[in-house]
Amino acid sequence: MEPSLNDERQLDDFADTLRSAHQECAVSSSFEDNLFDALSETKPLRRVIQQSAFMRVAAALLIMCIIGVPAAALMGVLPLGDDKQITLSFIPAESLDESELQEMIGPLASTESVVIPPHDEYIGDRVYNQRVAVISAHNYWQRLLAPYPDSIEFAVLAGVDVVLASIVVK
Amino acid sequence: MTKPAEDLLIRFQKGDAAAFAELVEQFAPRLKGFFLRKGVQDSTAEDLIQNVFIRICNTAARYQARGKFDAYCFQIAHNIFIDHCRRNKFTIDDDSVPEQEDVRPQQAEAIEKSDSAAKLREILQEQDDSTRQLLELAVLQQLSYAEVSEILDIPVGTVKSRVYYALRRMRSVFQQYEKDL
Repeated sequence: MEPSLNDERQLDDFADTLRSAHQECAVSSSFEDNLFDALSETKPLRRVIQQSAFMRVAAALLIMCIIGVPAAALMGVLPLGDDKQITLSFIPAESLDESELQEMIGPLASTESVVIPPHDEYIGDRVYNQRVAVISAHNYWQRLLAPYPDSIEFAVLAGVDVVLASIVVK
Repeated sequence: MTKPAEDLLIRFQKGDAAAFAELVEQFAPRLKGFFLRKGVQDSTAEDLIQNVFIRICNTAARYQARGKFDAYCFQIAHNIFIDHCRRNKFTIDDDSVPEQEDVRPQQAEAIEKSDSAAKLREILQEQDDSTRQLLELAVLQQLSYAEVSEILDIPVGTVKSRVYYALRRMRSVFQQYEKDL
């Protein structure tokens, strides 16, 4: 039902009457004093932060935590840059013979090849095996020292050879 | 002549403490009536008004003079009253709201009880809680329907129709009372 204009006017009059029946209530005489005392005691957070260095640090840490956690999560989700996929591979040692190895790492001067014994009887030969071990160790150290200047390489190799010789003698 | 409350708050934002005192003077009595009609005791009402002004003071920097200050102030008062109810497990039902005589001094009450103003207050107290809330803001505090809608979080159309029907209902009760006199 649409309210008529007359009805609305009468209701407005009634609302005025209702309002006039509800007078404002005076506050106690001490109210304002109490309020201003309370206001002087109450420090808003902003003022506390401005006044105390400790609170400033605490607020900064809090903000960093609040911002940092979602930011870190976002960094984890978003693909950043084009990371090259590194494929790791290896060549089984047994598939390489000495000549292939030298092709890969380059020719090394004065290395001696370990010769695989052609006959089974050498497998249990102690002297032969010692010699193979010494040559392998010498080659290993020589490859290791190849990038260094000759003077260092020869000095260290001489030391290595002395140690290897003492092992063989034992 | 009282200065518009919005101007007073803007002056207070700029550091004029006297403007805040003027705001308190204008709004404290209105707020006291607001809280008392919600059924709180006199001293509690003053504590709640104090909380309203402390919150206004602390949030003054964020106030933007888009709407009326009245709406801003009563929005805060409404929220503070809800907080108070939650803290004290205080619920309002028709039985818990004190009669208006609690608000008025005893002497005045004896005289007023017989007159029409007392009857009007009685009729308002007889309304259910949500209707009283609506009438408090829309009629007694003269906030716009849009402002009431925002404070109570109900559609403007609902505010309008509920205020209209509540006023009609109350008017017919009051007219009956006047006829019976």
